[in-house]
Order: sequence, then C-alpha cells, then structure tokens
Amino acid sequence: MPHHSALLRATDLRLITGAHIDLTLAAGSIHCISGPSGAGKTRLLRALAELDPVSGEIFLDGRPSLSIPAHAWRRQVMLSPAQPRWWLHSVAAHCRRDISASAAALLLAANRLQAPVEELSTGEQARAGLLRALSHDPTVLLLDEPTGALDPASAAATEKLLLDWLNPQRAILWVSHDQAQIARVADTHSLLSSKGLQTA
Amino acid sequence: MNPTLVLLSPWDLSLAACLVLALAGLSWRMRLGVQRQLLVAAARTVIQLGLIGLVLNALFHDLPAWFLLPISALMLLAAGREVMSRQSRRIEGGFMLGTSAMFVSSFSITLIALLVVVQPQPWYAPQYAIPLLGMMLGNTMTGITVGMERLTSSLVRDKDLIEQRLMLGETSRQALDLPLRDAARAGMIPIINSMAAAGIVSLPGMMTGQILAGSPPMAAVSYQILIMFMVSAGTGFGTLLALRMTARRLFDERDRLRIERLRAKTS
Repeated sequence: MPHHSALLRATDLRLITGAHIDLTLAAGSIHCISGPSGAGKTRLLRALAELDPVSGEIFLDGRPSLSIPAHAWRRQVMLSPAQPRWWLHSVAAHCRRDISASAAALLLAANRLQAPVEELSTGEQARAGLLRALSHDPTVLLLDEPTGALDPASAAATEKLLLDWLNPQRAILWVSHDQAQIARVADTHSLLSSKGLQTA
Repeated sequence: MNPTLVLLSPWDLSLAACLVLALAGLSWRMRLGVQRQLLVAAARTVIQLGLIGLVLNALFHDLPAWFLLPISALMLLAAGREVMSRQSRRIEGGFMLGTSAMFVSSFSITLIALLVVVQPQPWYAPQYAIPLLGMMLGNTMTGITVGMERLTSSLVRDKDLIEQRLMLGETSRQALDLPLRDAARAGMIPIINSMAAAGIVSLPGMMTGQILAGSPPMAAVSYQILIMFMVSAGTGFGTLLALRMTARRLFDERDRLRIERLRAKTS
C-alpha cells in the first residue's frame, strides 16, 4: 500500500462508552471498523461528523474542526447513516445533481428516483441515501453499514461504486460486520471495543 | 354609574359555579380525569380575578403610578411560569426564554398602543395600561405555549430527520425550517381564527363584558378591534421570537441538536 498523508485525524476522542480513540485516515484509502454491537461504532462516526459533543480534536487535512463552520465540516466529513431519512417528496429532490447514472450502477431504476420515497424498500432507500451523500461531494465519507440492508448483487454493486468514487483526495471510513467485505475493500482495518481502536 | 348596569351578586356567581361543579362531577363519573384541573382552574379564576379587581380598584383611586412597575413585572413572571408549566417537556433555561419573548412583544406593543393609539392622560394611567397589558400577556402566552410545545415535540419525534439534514451540510436554521414554520403556524392559528370568527361565530369576551357592563356597543367594538390587532401582532411576534430562541437553545455552538436539554416531565 502506498504511503498517503492523513486526510482525517482524530486525537484523544472519548466516546460515551469510555472508548479512547486516536484515528488516522489516509488520503485515498478505505479504513474499515468492526466490533460488537454497542461498542460505539455509530457513536464514533457521529462524533467525527460533529453530531455529538465529545472531548478531543479532529482535523481535516491538518485543519482543526473548530476552525471550520459546523455545517461546512459536515458537508466535507459526511456521515451516511444506516437508515437514511427523507423530508422531500422524492429521492431526486434531495440530491444536489442528477444521480441517474450512479443509480443505474447501483441497480436502481431512474423512475425510482422520482417515486414517493415511502414507496422505496429499505434496501432501495439505503442505496439512495448513499447516492444522495455522494451527490453533495464530500471529502471524507463515513459509512455506517452501507450494505447491511442489501442483497448480495446490490451489495457488490455498492462496493464497486465506492471503490470507483475513491481518489487520492478522498477517503472512506467504513463500518462493517462482514469480514469478507472488509477483506475486499479495506486498506486498513481496526476493531472497536470499549477500550478503543485496535489494529486488526 | 351607568343606569343600565346590572350588578351581579355573589349568589348569581355561585349559581354559575354550580354549573362548573356539575361538569366536574361528570368528568369524575366518566373518568376523564380533568375534574381536579377544572376545579383548581376555576378556583384560580375567582382568586386571581378577585385580587386583580382589588388591585385595580386601589390603583384607579389611591395608589401612586410607580406601582405599575411591580404589578406589570408580577403579571409577566406569572405568564412566564404558566408557559413553562404547560409544556410537556422541561427546557433548560426555558423560563427566561418564554418570559423574555413575552416581555419584548407584549410590553412594546402595549407601549405603542398607549403612546400612539389610545393616548390616555397620563399615558401610563393604570386603568388603561393594566388591562391592555393583561390582554396582551394572556394571548401572547397562549401563542408561545402552543408554539413551543409543538416545536419541542416535533424535535423529539423528528430528531433523526433533523440530524440527517445536518449530516448533509445544512445549518441548524435550514434543518429546522419545517418544524419551525409548523410551530409558528400552530401558535398563531388560534388568534387568526378568533379574528376571522369575531362577531359572526363568537362575540369576543372583552367586548361582551364591556357591553354587559353598560358601554355603548360601538365604543366596545372599536376597543375590541384595537385589542385584536394588538393581540395578533403581539402573539405573532412573541411566538416567532420565542421559537427562534427555543431553537437556538436546543442547538449548540457547533450546530448540534442537543435534545438532552429537553427532559420529559415526570408524571
């Protein structure tokens, strides 16, 4: 694996679980996190997206999070949750630009993007949520089990889309339970426990 | 004294009280569970209005004008306490929040009414200032109460949705636009409805009271119009202000939704 500079770095984060986190996410890389339920994986992602107050410091490309307005931080360090929520009529209405090409890559028909969101299945909503996040052009993507609700074919399509999205200016922090998936996509992998992160 | 004025005796009032008692009895039998609240509220009406009657009587006759200050402050604090006690969730710092929003809107609009519209001599003459302020506070209080309750309950219900919008890079102001508009509407609808229905469906209480007490109808009507305009402006501005302040209170300096600042009341 080539050496990259740290794109996202967190020092001395303390989660409510007691976990003590130091984390470095290299530019152009995918770092996977796994761990038992309740270990605080989602909390870690929420802390990095500045949705929960935690002690410690987070840096994007060397700049501390507090030097960037909160909404601008979240636009760059974007969390795509396991269950995306919707407030407008259709998926397309939530996206910053036309996503029909990438939707097709995720086996989502273009007319599903115009349909009322509540008519979409859980798996369709999960993929649409990811596409919505990508349409906002984040720098770092925080993924909370992006394929947890998907059948194998859509899961494979999602992995491919994310690998294609990655470039040397971007990075992904990917929470997954699936060891085979982690082996396929991760450049680095760590385990989260109540103590903190351990390299796996 | 107006010759047409029919004075009510305590006996007349206790007849009306029997009706409230009958309603409380029915609530008890049907297990509606509101009988206690109903009776306490009725008792409060008697005590509070009786006290204010005594105070106004004293004010109109003997007491110096500076008495207006402690009395209006007392009215404001009581309204602020009422707003909080009618919320189903406790907001940290909520008392100051509701009270200051009411202070800004009710006092400024009452001042405008006294200085520009009614212009009594002197402008602070208690028989004008106190009733006007009371009408303002009473209605603004209702608007703020309803609006805050609506806002906090939709924040609790739609926490995930609001946070989803934050995740996508929206500011707290953008993420809150729907619940805030909804809450503002809820706070203002009652006063808008009462303006729309005034005279056709309902005879406003204040006007009815004045007419019953012997005022010429057209005088009562013009005062009623003045009051309704002031009250709707005060309710609207006060509700918007209180909602904006509540929203700020529930987000922190990093635009994080701090729902833990709302706590469900025990009981």
